[in-house]
Amino acid sequence: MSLDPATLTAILVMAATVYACRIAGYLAMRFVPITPFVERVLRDLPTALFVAVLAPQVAMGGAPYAAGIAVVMLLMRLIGKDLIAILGGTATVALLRGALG
Amino acid sequence: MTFTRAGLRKGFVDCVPFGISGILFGLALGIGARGLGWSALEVAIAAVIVFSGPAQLAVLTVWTSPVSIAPVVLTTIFVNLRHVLMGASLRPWFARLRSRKVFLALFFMTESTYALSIRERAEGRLDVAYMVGGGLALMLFWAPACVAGHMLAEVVPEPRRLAFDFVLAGLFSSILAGELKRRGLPRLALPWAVAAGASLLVWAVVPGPWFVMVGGLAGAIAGAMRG
Repeated sequence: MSLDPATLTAILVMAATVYACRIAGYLAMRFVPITPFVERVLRDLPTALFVAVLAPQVAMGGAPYAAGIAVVMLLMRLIGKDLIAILGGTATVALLRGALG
Repeated sequence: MTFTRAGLRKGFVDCVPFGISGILFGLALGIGARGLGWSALEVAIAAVIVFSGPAQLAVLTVWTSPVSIAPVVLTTIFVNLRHVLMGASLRPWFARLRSRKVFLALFFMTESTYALSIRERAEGRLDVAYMVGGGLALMLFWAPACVAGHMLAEVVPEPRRLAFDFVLAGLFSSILAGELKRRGLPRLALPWAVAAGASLLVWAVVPGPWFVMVGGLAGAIAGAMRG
C-alpha cells in the first residue's frame, strides 16, 4: 500500500474533471430557457444518444452484436422483462462469437 | 421530483445486475493499472472518486511515468463529454429539487444509472434518489473489482468471450424497446435514423468519441423539429 504524490494528484485532477463533466450540462441548461422546442430536444436526447452509441458498435461488432440487439428488442416485446432480455442478448452474442470464432 | 429512501432502495436493487456485469471490466482495469505501477490503494481511490470505467481506462492509455497532467485531463474530458449532454437532458426533471441532492445524484451518473433513471422517468416515477441508490450498487462491485484485479493479476478469463462487453449495449437496447412501445415507430423513426446516420458518419471520419455527441444531438434536434 503506497501513495505516490504525483499519481494521487493525477487521480484527484481526473476525479474533478469527470465530476465537472457530470454537472456541466446540468448547470449550462440553467442559462438556456426551456422552450417547448428545447424540451422536445431534451426528451429525445437520451434515446438518440443510445442509438448513436449503438450504431458504430453494430458496424464494428458485426452479426453477433446486431443479433444480440435484435434478441433484446424481441424479448422486450414478448416478455417485457429487461433483465431476461439483456441476458438473452448477451448469451446470443457469446454463442455467436463462439460459433463464428 | 422527490428524493426518498424507497427510491434509493429501488435504484440500488435495479442496478445490482449492472454492478455484477462490471466486475470483469473492473478486474481488467486493476490489472492494467498494476502494469503501469499503480498501488492497490491508488486503484481503490480512483475507483471511488473518479467512478467512471471509460475514463479510468482511457487515462491508462495515456499514462506516463512520471505522469503529465495535461494528457490525463484532456483524455478524461474527451471520454466523458457525453456526460455533459446526459446531464443537460436531466435538467427539466432534476431542477425542481434542492441543489445539494441534485449534485449528489450527478456524482453517481454513469451510463447504466442514467439509462435506468430515464426508464424510471418514462414510467412516471420521478425519484432522484434512484440514481444515488444505483450508483451505490455499482460502487459496491466496482471498487472491490478494481482492487481485486490489481491483486489477482493472472486469473482473469477473457471478458470478450463471455460477451460482457455487450451488457451495456443490451441495456440501451432494452430501453429503446420500451420507448418504441410507448411512443411508436412513426414518431421515433426519424430521430433514430438521423442519430444512427450522423453517428456512423462522424465515427468513420473523426477519431475519438465525437460520434456519440454529434449523433445524439442531431437525432434529438431532428425529433424535436418533427414535433
